[in-house]
Amino acid sequence: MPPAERCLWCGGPLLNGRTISELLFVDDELCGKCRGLLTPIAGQVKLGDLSVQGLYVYDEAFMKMLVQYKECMDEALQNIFLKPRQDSLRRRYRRAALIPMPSSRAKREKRGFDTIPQLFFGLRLPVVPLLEKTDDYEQQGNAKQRQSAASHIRLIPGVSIPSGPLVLIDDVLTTGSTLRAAQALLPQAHEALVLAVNQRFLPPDPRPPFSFQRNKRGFPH
Amino acid sequence: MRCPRCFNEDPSWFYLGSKGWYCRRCIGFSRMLVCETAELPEPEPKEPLDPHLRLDYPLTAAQQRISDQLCELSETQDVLVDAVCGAGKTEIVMACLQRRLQRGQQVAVAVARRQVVLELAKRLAAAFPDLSVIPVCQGYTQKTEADLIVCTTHQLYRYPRRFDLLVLDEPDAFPYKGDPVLHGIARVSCRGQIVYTTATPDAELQARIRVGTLAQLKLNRRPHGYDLPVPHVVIGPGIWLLIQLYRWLKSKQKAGKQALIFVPTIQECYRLKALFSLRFACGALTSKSEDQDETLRKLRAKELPFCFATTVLERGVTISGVDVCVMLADHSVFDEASLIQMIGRVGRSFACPQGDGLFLCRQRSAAVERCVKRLKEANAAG
Repeated sequence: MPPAERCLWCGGPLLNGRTISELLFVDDELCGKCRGLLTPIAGQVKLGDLSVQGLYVYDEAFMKMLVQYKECMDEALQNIFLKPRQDSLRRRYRRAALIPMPSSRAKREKRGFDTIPQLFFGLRLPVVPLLEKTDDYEQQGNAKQRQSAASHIRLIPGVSIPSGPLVLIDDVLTTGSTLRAAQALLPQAHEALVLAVNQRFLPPDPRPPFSFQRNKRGFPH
Repeated sequence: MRCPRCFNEDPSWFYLGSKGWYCRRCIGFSRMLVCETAELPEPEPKEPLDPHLRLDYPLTAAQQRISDQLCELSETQDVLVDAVCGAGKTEIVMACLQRRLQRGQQVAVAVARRQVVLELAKRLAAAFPDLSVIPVCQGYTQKTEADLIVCTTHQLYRYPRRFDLLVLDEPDAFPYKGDPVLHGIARVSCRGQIVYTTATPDAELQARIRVGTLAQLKLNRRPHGYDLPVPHVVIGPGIWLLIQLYRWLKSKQKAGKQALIFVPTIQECYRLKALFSLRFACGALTSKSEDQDETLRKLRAKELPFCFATTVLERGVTISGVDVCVMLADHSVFDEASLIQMIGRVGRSFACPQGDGLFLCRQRSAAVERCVKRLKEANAAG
């Protein structure tokens, strides 16, 4: 099977579980079944002055895919999250510069790539690294430790800040502490784009009324 | 291009990342670059050990003969110990492990299933009281170095080119069976010989025996000398099978015996457990059960008379004096090997060398017939 026809998550044929309209009009690297594992969300989350656009619910399926991308260093997955929505997002943020949340230097060197900018590479918008971690502080799982991460990022000394709108980008909105800290350093940023949002920030049913999320029978909602 | 870990050569699984080409078929074990082949570290030499081997019972003459042959054959080639369920395969390989450790070589025992790893680690720790024996599997990965490692086949990825002798228990069991990634990882972890132990060698092992790349040692008799239990097969409609199962459990309850009831699916397992809980004290054990260890402990402690289980319990588990029923034995989930393994839970101990087996089927099944035939053949040959 040529690489382009293999689902990047399950390894099966890309045609699996896809509708005719999806086959014709949606360019995707996941088969319909695997795309259906992710729960898309609509609307924005308010985080102080910052309005955060999330794409998916941070659930087990999303977490598994992100872990494979980040911890197993599977770069092939870099486009799977944005792919179905990248055209509309590119139009929406066409004048903006994307500011990635920093990752630790040691991990970057081990992986050979920077996880956050590569996740948003498909938007083909300028990515300007303005922030860095002050030391090799490892972001931890629990909320308290995550909040303390805020004091571990700073502006890269001597870097020039772009004049247009700034959009902060990150993989997951977990507690909001990193984005809040970044906005404190870059007060001109009023928008953020994240791939997944923790359930705690979401209303009980965050799915948009018409989405490519499937029910168990494989039909769209 | 060839993956150094899973030996994949299909180009559609390779991806060119920032650091070079890597294989995505085994990416779940973290990225391994194709160019990393030469960089696999050579393990540090170990001090020879002098482990004392303490067995609960002395090996029978037949076991001793197989054990001696294994020690000799495994010096130069891969060996299959093809012994019936409960024939003491673990005890047979112990002398071989001891001999390798005495030479300062590195050895491991790998099993497909986590539950079996935990049980096997306990047995090996008791048999080798002087050694540090650790299980390495899900939930037990804090410590990964010891004199003797007992791990799941998944965990072998931690030990590239490490072992001089790898004992691969139940190579015909899910998830190892038919998984090329796990096969590759096992091959990479072993720089010496592999000893396969099973009662039901699959087509791949049998093919290797035919071409002469694998030596076979056969043992058809359990150490207590009793015949293997041959199951009673009942064929009928679903409701009739439920009535039969009820009557069978009732008779076990009267006799004060424990019973394992194997079912083909997780859903069916919980459904039957709910139904029979109205009349009997019973538990359920599947791969989705959160209290797996606790249920198994209760079974062993005789606190739980009946337990419905999926194939998760079909291998490597010894519960003394248990009888076995396979509900819907004609289901496609059960093949000949799994039926032999399930009925092999009966009569394993010296205290209860005999027991009762029952297969409940909706229709005739080739797997059931082959299983019965094979058990009868083993009894005749033993």
